[in-house]
Amino acid sequence: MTYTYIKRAVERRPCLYVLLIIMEILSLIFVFFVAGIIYRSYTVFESAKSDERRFDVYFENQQAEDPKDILANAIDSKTYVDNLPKLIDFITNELGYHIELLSANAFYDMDGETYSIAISDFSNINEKGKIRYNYPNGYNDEHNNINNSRFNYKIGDSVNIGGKELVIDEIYKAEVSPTGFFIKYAGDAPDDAIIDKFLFQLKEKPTYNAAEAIKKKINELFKMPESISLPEGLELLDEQLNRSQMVVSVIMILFAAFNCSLFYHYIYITNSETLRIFRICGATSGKCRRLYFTEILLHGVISLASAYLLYEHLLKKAAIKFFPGIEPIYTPKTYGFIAVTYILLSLLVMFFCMSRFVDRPIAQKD
Amino acid sequence: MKYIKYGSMAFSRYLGMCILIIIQLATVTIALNISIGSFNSRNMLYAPYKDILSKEGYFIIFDMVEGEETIDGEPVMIHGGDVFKERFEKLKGDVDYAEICTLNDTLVSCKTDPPKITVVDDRIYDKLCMPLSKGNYSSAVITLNSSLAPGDVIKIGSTEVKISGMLTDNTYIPTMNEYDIDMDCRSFYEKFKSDDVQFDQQMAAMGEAKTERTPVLLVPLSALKNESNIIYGNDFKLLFYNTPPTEEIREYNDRILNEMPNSSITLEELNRRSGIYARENIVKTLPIIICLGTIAMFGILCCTCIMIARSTKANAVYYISGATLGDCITINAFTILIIEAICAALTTAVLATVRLTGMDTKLGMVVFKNNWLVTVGVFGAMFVISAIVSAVTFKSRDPKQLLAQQGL
Repeated sequence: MTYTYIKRAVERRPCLYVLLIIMEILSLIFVFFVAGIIYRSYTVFESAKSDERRFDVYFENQQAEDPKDILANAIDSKTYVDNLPKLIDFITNELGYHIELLSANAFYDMDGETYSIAISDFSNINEKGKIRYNYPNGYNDEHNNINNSRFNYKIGDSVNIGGKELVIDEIYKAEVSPTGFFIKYAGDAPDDAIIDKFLFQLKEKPTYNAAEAIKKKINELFKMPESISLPEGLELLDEQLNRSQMVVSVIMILFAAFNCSLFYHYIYITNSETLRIFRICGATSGKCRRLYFTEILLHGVISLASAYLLYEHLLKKAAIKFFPGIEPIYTPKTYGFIAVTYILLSLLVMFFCMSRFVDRPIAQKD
Repeated sequence: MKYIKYGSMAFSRYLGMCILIIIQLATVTIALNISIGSFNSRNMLYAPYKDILSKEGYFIIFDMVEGEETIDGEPVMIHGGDVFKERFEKLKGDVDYAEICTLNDTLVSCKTDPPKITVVDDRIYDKLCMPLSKGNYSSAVITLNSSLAPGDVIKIGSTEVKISGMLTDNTYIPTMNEYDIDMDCRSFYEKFKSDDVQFDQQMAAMGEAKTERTPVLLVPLSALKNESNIIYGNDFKLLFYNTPPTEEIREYNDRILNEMPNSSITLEELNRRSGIYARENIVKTLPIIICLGTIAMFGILCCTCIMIARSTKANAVYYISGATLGDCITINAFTILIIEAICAALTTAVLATVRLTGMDTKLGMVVFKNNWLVTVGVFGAMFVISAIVSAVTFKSRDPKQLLAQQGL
């Protein structure tokens, strides 16, 4: 009976049914697209401040008072330098972010003095064997010579750090950073320097999940540092993303379902003779309602499948081209959520629209 | 009048459906207005600086430099901004600068406590567009917490300046006293609220008894053209080339500027970041609103079709009574107009509530003319499309045929 009814209804008013299917497909494609746009608005940032992109990894215990306890968890620079390429590889190749700045802070005992050493990454291969000497403001004379016997270095001087002869090619007046050396190529770092912290800054603002994955990787590679400070504001963004995605998607699906149900309603009220014939032939109002619901379900499933195929295989590529960064949202879970919500809301809205129409006495005129 | 009457009758006949359509349309217009309001709120900060930032140049801060005077043989350090004018004269090419300075209040006399005077370069002042509670920007504007009002005259040095406008309470004051490597146009303003709790706390922490913000008067630099002796340069400057310089001039000027210790950021970078900041929200929300609007449009079209299908009998009665097909289409158009009028009233009510409860500040939105223009545009488009659909539907459901079917 259902098949006969649907076949006949479609044959009688094919244009209306085609319009309905097009409307449903378009509405669902918009819902898929908007889900991606909402995801992107919380995960892709054209411009973010540096503290929203920076990770600080501390090996020193900032709460401890005893100097021994402060550096109890510190790692040596060999561990740092050995594991650094793995971290860089994870961030750049697996997560797809770009590192803009990377520097570690270390202490090194040399000639009875403790020097502060900053270690850059491996990208400065051309700077291999070169160091910058940082000296504090106030130690220079009027000719810009360093006039303190303890920090008596000049450009071209060779310094033996951990058995490696490194040449000072730059002298920098450090206003705030401590006196010491800046090793420009990480491979030149002495093995036994003590790393108390390192920091890196990404070019792009990471997502909450990416930041958590980076944190996990750091813990895994560097034997659980004392603390890792993640970029600012990510937790809040993640909460907002979930809320917005849910609310906007449901509103759009509700609108789409309501509009499609309105269209069905239009088809039925312009085709009320069929219902009368069914009722005269003995169909109960419950049977008629089931018939209509089956029809809606069938149309809904066809529209969902068409919208999914069209979007997934044709339109998604174009959407990604114009709005890069939306692709991670398109998982079976998202499509499933949209599909189930759409079908349920369509049936619910249709139930209210249909009830009065189906239960009307057969003899009542339009 | 009769069209309004019959349109209202059709509206009340299909009240439930009309309410659902009103909800959809109102959701779209409110979302659109919030999005445009957010864009206005950000663009309001960018627009005054946009022309300058589009040029080649630097936002530059000069450090303290050694002055000619000495105390105990040690040179006295003076502000870099104070000696900048001498250096600027040495620069070549079509180079210029803009700045925002604050004047010493001892130079100000008026009937009440003197406000803080902020002198703004005319190229920036002329484009300021923070909302005003009264008046206009023609000569000088003052913050809301002052007892001075538009029309009052204030004497700065020997020049009389007439106040022409008053800002709203929660506003932004142009300033140039912040520099950081990540800055954008927001750094050229400070937030101003007369009962600023944070400001009070800062004052209390500094041991200051004063817990209320001093009113600020914004004056264009041209209004004080005879007072150049009392306006001292700020250390922060927007230095720009009106016409792109040659490589030689650029190098020469950079060398002259770098003789004074300074930190700078290129205007190109500043403009890029400011543009991103201004457009960020609208770029994120507009695609969502367009999709939502299209779905709502489907709803309105369905609603129009259903109303026409259901009102065929009523239209047939009008037809018998002498109405033309055009009259029937007009009656339907009035029903749509009533729906749109209710939506417009709802949108206005929501925006007014947002404004009156101070939610606009929390949402970061400012309502300008473009809000109304876009809203009217959306309603107009919806009306035209639904009118076309209704005309087409009417033609397919001719009252004559219906009357013949009913045996009349």
